[in-house]
Amino acid sequence: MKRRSFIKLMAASSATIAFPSLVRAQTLGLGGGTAPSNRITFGCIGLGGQGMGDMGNILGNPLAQIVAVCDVDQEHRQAAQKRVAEKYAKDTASSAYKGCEEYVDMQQIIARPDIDAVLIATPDHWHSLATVWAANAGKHIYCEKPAASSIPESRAMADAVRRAGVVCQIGSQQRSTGEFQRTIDLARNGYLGKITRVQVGLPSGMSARGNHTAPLAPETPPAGFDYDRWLGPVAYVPYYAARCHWNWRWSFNFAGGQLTDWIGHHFDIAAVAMGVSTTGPVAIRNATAEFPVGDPLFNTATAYAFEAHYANGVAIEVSTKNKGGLRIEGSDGWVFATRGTIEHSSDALRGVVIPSQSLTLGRGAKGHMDNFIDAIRTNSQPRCPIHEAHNVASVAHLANAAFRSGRSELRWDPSTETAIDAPDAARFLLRTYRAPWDLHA
Amino acid sequence: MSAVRLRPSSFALLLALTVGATATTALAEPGHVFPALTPAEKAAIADALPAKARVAPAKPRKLLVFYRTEGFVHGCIPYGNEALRRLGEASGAYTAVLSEDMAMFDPATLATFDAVVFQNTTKLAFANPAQRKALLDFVASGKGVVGLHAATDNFPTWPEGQALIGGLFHGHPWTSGNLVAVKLDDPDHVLNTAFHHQGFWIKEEIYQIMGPYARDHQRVLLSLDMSRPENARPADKIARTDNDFPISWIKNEGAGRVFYSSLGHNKDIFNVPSILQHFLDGIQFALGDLPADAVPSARLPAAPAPALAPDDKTTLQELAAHSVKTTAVPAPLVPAAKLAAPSTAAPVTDSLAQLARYDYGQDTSVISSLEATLRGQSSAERAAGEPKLLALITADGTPAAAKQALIRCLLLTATPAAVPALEKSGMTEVLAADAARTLAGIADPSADVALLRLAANAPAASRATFINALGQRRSASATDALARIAKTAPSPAEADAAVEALARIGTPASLAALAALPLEGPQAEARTRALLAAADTVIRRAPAASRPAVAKMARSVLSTTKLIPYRIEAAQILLAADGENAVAELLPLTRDPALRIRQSIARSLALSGLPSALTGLDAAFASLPADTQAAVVSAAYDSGTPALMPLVKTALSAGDVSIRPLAARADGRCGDETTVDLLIPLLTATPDLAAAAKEGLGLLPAGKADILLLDKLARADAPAAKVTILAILAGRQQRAAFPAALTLCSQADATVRASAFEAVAKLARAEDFPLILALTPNLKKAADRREWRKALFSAASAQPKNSQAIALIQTALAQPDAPESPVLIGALTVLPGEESTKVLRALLASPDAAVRKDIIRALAAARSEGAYALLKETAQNSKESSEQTLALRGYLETLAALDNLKPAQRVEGYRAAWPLASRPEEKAAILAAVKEIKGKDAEKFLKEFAPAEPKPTAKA
Repeated sequence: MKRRSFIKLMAASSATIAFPSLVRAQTLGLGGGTAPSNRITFGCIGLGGQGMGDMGNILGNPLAQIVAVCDVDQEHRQAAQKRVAEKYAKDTASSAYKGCEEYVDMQQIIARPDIDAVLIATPDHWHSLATVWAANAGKHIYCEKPAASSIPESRAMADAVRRAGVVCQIGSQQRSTGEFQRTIDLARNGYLGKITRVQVGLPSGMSARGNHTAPLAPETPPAGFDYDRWLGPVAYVPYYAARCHWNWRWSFNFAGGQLTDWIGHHFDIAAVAMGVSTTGPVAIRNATAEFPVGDPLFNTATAYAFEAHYANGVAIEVSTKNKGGLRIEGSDGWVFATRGTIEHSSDALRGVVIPSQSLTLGRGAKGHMDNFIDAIRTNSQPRCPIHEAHNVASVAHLANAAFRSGRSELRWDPSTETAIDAPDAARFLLRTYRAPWDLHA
Repeated sequence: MSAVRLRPSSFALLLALTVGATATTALAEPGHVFPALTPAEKAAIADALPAKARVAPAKPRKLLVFYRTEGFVHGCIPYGNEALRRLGEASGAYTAVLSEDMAMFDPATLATFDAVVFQNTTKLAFANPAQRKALLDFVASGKGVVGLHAATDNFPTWPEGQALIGGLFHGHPWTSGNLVAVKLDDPDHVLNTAFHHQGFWIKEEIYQIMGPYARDHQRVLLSLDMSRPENARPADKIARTDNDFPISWIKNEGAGRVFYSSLGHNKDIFNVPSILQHFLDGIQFALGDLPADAVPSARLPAAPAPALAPDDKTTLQELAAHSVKTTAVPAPLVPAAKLAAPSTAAPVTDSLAQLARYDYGQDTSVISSLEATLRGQSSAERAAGEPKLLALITADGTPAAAKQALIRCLLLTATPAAVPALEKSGMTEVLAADAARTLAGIADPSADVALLRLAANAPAASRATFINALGQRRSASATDALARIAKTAPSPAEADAAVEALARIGTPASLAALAALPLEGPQAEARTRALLAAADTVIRRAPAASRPAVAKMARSVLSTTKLIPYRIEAAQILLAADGENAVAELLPLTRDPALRIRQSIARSLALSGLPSALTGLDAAFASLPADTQAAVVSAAYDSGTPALMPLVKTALSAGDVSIRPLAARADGRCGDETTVDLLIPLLTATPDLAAAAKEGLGLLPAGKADILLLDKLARADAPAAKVTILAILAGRQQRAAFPAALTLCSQADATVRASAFEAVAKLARAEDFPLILALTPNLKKAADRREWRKALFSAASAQPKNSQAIALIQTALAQPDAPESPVLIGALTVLPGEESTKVLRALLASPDAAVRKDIIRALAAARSEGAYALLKETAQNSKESSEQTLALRGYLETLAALDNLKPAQRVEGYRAAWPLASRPEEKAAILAAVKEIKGKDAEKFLKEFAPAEPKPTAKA
């Protein structure tokens, strides 16, 4: 019986400064227009399950104020507006709060000069357009992971954000949680010795898919749901309730399955730990995948494995057969982390306290959304900036392209972002927008 | 995972749990009320229903579904009822009447039915002689009886009734959670059709059948496959000597028929399509509609070879939960496609005819199969097969959905020969985006031509898509055409798409084309944006040659545009293109009236690394607005490069007061030991600045900075100054500060002392154990104790086995009124090895009840895994009720406090506690704690132990 549990992962972060006192908002000229408040004003776009969760984190931060919500689904929109209104009514001890407006068209939010920042929690196929528009309009952006549904799209996001000089955080929130920060710090500071193996376990199958059987007649979208706008830039496919909320993940029309849904979590941490999140890979190797047969709606891989190889020699293994999480093994030990848990190969390793000078992501405000708001206030880089998230998501898109073209190896030039000697795989990396939607270069 | 902290008062204040009649354990309850099925549960049954009956009934049939229980009440009864009702409805085979009223067996009433199902009836006395006669006559006259599961556990005083069903329940050595292998005794029998000549695995409770059962009397359809070790059971559980464990059978009785199956205990059995089909077939046999051979198994001229269970042990329930609906065992997933080896898969043509009829929402097997085939083929093979795909794409009769799928398959073949078909498809609006994408991927000039033609001729609504595609493929040859579209297209969407495409192409020629467009009118903004994007792309791709042109363009935009994003972008491009030469004209922008401009440009200049930019910023720093100073300092903090340290120093000394904390932190990132003296004085400044300085000192690189700080520590006079530096060194894990920390633990000042103990806790190692133990006289306040405890536990848990630590603790405990004895006991629980456990057990066995209680309390406070195990032991074994309660409470509190437990482990812990909880408030506390746990294990636990309560709603 091990007797170690009482050693909590000491939040060795010495960054205990309560962020409101760090720099006054007025110093940074934030607060927007003629509003008397110093708060950072938010418009929230895309309010399904994840969006509502993110919105809760914004509501919980006293420096932020949500003034607009947007969704193409009337039910989502109204539920979000209600939640915001109730929270602020309670805060101000008033009977009603009328400061949060509802929108169907996100461009109206983006055009408002009094809005400082946007939350983008739409499905993957909308991330790029929304982020590029927001960046062009000078809004700070919190966009959910994965960065986008294709490499050219997240490249466009990274470029737009860089040119606009706004803060953009991608929702890889594991970068803000203790067990993953510790994994990164142990690996990067040599506590594991020379790293010999990195294994990432991602989910198989399809989560929360529901029952449906062929043949399925195309359905009529409900009255309050703007399906054409929900589809946006995607090539036209008919409406099925079972393929909209949540379950768009399992269709290559919109996303890339469990792989793209989770690349921004455990793989992202592995990439940061190994110092390769700032570049793309040079090859995908040993790629294998299984696809569903006969499903009338969904076609993304349900089981898969591959290795991501980098120019500096690092290789990260990904497989649905690995235990969910990431395992980094070195000459002096190993560590395994998944949500809520971190396991060490020895008591000595477990007892390591990361010194303050070696902390990487553990500095500053704890929560991922709080870190974003902090970055806005200090005009600094958030924990998961878009250019890193672009590199990480690229790995998933490359792997999917390898699977779909039947290649077990796909070579990639990260500096020009082009596939090498693989025109068939390269075609799967393209995404052409349906008119009138157009992605700014 | 949040830990739920149970406070001792929770036992007293929680309401007594109302333990109503739980569905799985009540007895003898006709009229028992079952909870209603949820819509999801109904849907799961509905999904498993066969589409139609195997035969049409000879006439409308009426089926009595009887579910009266005079013994054990099965929780699955409502599921069975729903399934049987829906089976009849969906298939048309019968109409069901559900009842538990014995009056149904009055002769006149019974006669109105065609067959009776005993659905998990138990211990039916069936005492009325008239009803007994009625039932026997009912069957003998040509009607039917069906029994499901517990139907063999009835008629305790009526042998004829037992003989009618054909067997008697004699225990179930295979329980409801067991994985069992089932074989088809008669694979060709019509009532086994649903199983497709293959045995199967299920999780189900299987009866051992005794009594009137005999293979000489009935035709056995399904039985346990005893060739599988999973089915083996210990001899003391098995009464039969012939290894025959039947599951489903039929027989003729007079002119009537009987079908029985022991399946039907687990609710999810009713979600399995093949089992529902099997039941329906059996019911139709009993109704007399489906003829089936009922010659007893032992009397067949030749015994059929049974179909055994397969090697794949996936249960039918798992398959039902995950598969697309099918009445057969589903085919396995298509295996992975390997690197393009020549394919031995079926030629492409076989599936094409089917694919040609595909429409949205249909089974996509044909598409998956074609894709899989193509994936496995070489490029030559794919090219060879392409014409057939093209023929289908261009055929008028092919539905749009099929064309879309085929165009997507062309991503794999994509020879120039495909261009004409794609161009034709592009004229259909619904296919435009897919045609555009595939064309974008064909490396042949004919694709450019096709895209340009489509851009001109396709329906207006889709033209922008093709222009977009030209940008995607970086079609340099389309530059002139795109420029024309940008200038002359009447539709803003097309003009916009054209400039974006030119930007994405990003060659000097496309940049020039954009630069030639006048930047005024309604297109001005789009053109400016595209121009800048193109310049940015060009400068990044072909830097040297294009710099002059790009710099010129950027300057021009900077001097003309008022729009903030374009000024920022132009400035950035200018900096990238012209480097040092641009610094002088960009520096003034750090005082621009627009906040975003001055912040962005200041940041870009700081991060550019250009010497003149850094010196320029430094010289101007004090006159910059505070927000711009902040941007510069944040850039330093983010990058952590030493080159920015001069700016940080300036910020610290001459910057706006409001940004100095930022600067102190940035110092830690960019500085080295030479900046220690800048930060030390700030430790006594205002709280914000002091905290930032502390953080900054904590960030300096390891090495010389530590030496300097240790020196400061030694030289500091006042203890208050000492502990601040001590805290920094402790955060830096600087071991050499440990002696100073120990010394400061004896300080009279409470704040100083608490900080000293905190430093001890952070730096403690195994070898410090005796020293830490010796600090007990210095413990005056709660803060001291809290940190001391951490230090002691930390050192204790790192001890080698059989260290002196146990002896030292025992000595300390032996002191009269041993101070801190609870913590010492707690420390014993974290020592590695078995020795300390022995000591603790000896203490727990003390003859003195007060001592025993003290030990239990100390264990409860320890919050360690070692204490957890001992508390559990004590709660299980203690003879004294008050100690048992104390131990249980400690056990539950520790369980709630332990982090790093997975939900399953946590629930396991509560499950072990449940039998130990004798009082309602204890049970209530357990339930309250489990309700906080997410996931299936917790739900299962709650269903089992608190089924009368509503399920906890999922938390966001």
